[in-house]
Amino acid sequence: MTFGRGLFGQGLFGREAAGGGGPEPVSISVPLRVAVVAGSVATLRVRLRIRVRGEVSLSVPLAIDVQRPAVRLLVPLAIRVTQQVALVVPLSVTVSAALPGPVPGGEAFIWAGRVTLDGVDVTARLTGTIEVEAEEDAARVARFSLAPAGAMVALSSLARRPVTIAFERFDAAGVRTGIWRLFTGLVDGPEYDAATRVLTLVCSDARQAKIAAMTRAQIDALVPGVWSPFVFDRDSTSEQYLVDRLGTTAGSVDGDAYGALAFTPWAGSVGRVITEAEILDESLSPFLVGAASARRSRLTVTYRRPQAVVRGILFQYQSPPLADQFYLGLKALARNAVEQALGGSGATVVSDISWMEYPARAQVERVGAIVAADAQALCLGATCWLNRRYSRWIDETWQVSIGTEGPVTDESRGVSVEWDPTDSDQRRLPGNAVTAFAVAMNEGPVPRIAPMLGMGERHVDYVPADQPDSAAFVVAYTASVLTAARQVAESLRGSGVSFELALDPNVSLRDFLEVDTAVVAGAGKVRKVVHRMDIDAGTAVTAVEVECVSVTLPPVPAPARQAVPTKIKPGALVAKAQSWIGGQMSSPVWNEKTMFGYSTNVASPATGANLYPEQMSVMVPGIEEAAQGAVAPPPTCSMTAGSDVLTALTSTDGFDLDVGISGVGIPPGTVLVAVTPSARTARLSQAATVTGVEREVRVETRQYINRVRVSYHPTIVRNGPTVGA
Amino acid sequence: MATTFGVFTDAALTTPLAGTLDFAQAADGSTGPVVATVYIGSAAGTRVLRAVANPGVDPLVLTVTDSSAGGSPAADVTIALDETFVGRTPGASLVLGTQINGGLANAVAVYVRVEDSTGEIGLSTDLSLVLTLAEEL
Repeated sequence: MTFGRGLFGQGLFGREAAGGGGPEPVSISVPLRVAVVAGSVATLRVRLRIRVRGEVSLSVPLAIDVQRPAVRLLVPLAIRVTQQVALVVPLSVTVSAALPGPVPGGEAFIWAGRVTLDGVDVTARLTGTIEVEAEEDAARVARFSLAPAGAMVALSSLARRPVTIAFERFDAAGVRTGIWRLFTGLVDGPEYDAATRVLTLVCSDARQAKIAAMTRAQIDALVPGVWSPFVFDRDSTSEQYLVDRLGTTAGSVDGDAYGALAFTPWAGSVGRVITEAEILDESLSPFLVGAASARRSRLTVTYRRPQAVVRGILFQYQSPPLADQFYLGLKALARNAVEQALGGSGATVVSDISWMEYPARAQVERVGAIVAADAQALCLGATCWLNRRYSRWIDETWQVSIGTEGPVTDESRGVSVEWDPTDSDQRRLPGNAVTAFAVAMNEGPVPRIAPMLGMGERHVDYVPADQPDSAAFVVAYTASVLTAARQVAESLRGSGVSFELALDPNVSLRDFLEVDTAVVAGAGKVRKVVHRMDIDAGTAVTAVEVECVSVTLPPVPAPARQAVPTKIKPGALVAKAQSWIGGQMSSPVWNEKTMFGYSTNVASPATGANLYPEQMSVMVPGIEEAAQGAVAPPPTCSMTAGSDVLTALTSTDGFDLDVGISGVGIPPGTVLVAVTPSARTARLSQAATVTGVEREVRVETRQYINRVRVSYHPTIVRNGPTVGA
Repeated sequence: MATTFGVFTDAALTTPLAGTLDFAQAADGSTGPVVATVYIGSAAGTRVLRAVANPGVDPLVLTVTDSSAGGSPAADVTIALDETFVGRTPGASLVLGTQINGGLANAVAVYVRVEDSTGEIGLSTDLSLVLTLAEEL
């Protein structure tokens, strides 16, 4: 669009585009110039015509509203919280000369006790007596007293503070000749005497706490021995675990002067000889354990486990000859009758039934032929294998005689396989199982026993997971025997020599000493040491007890296993099924309890003859009581010659009226006529012929496994004390 | 935040070292070298120990320090990360790495061997093993 100058001023002009562009709203400002002439009235009209002829350059005012943008800034912060750690391991090096031995008649030596409490040397405040006591299998205990320091001390602040006690020796010139650690531990309990203001600190080497903090692997590394979860508590604490494990050894665990725990056996070679020159006057004294304390043990270890059994039984039936069937007019035996009989027999058919084919056509001499249209449904007999399954408990028992001295103490230890019989019952109750073993589908926790296709039995020991199998039982047996042996050994220990020396810090519970004097002699392990430094009296003494009974526990032979009896009653492996033909004059009276098999009647029964039901039945022998009863060692009892009463029976399992009983001192053919389980007595049909106690007897309704009797003895060596009597 | 890293006497990190790490020696040298083991670590598996200076870069160094001229010299002590002490110089510092992770499996076993060279009767407590100032996070 362009502007040109017209008649009355500047206006738009130009050529309109071909075809027109249509009205276009355009805001145009047109300047108008008006000339006014005096005396005339002019009406001004301005006509405006706008045509868009071509390209125009339009100026479109734009209103731009610029606003501040909304911005959200996210600044992630990382805050690292740290704690400064300054780790320091303070070292203490004690350098000592060889301890000079006392010189008889020589000058008294000069000594001093040195005590640090929580790293602070408190030697200057020591008063009274410093005592350090170490004993086998116990914490090392120390006790010392501090004179008042003129400051208030919170007693609680002293608890668990580290303590060291050392012993120093000086020569006549006051030069230190040695310093030896006697104790390293913690304050156990401070005691305060208000009258004297003396603070006495009782300290311990924290043996119990150290053991409590140990893992079982660490305890295993520390203590030799045997441990079984089937003998000891599998969930026991570390301390109890150590006690259990240590109980299968001949040795002790205790701490040394530096608090380090170590195992020391009760037997070893002598490393030092103590002579009269070293022993303080009137301190030597032998001691002997009372003879009454010695004892031996008769340990009974029983391994109880279940055993699953499958018994194979033969079923075989053959019907009367075909000719007899024809001439007597007997009904042919149907196959489904046989199948039904087997199904209801209480046993499981574990094989295909082998049928004796019934002929489809039979020629009868001079009579003709007989045609059986349903021959496939009939049979002349059948054979198959049947199974019965049951379980029983086996008790293998070892009687171990331990030790040779003192009265006998009876102990018993049972290692038993435990399982929940309802577990398999709920899954599947086998119709022919006499107990809870589910064996059909291989689905339960019990093992699947393959069917027995033959006459006889297959036995499977069943041990669920985490239960004592044979290997675990051997460990349990060994642990049981060793534990009993240690207790026997402990009853014999306690004989030795006690004496006192000028304080000798080198004597420890690890030492084996020999006392060699003219009046008392003996050798063995140090079982107790007490170092006592009396500051007031100026004496420093070590009291020692030497145990003269050395003990070692030889390896325990593995328990010999006994064959488990598997007696089967004769005839129990064959099912009963015969032919019974009624309607004949010779037919006996029907007896459903004894006449198993195919029973039928002749076509034309004789008058007055016994008739039988038309049926097929099978009698599968059950599992006899002696087979499924618990297998255990024979019970023992007391008997008196001429008396028909057995007393002190250890078991009455299987004891019942009219049951045969046998044993040494019992006449053949004797049966039980009365049993009183609560009183553990039984009356016999015949009087016993001998008198005795702990006599084994057997009843015919049980199978027995031999009671294994073995001996095991700790090796006890007495090295004194001997005295110059 | 309590610190969990420390020096323990057992690999299970259950027994913190209380007092001093003690060694006994005969003045005539007949005892021979004595070896003790300590464990530096934390039972807390999520914790980490690093040097305060330039964490994660600067190493954690265990140094044998001798606080006095008397007593046992630092050269009487040898520290190592294995009990053979192969290649270790008496008195030399030991680098434990740039960080020690928490957890029992990550605890660092430090073997400390002491053999007295002085022959002087007495009790020396002037030696220490000092770890680089560290931070636990």
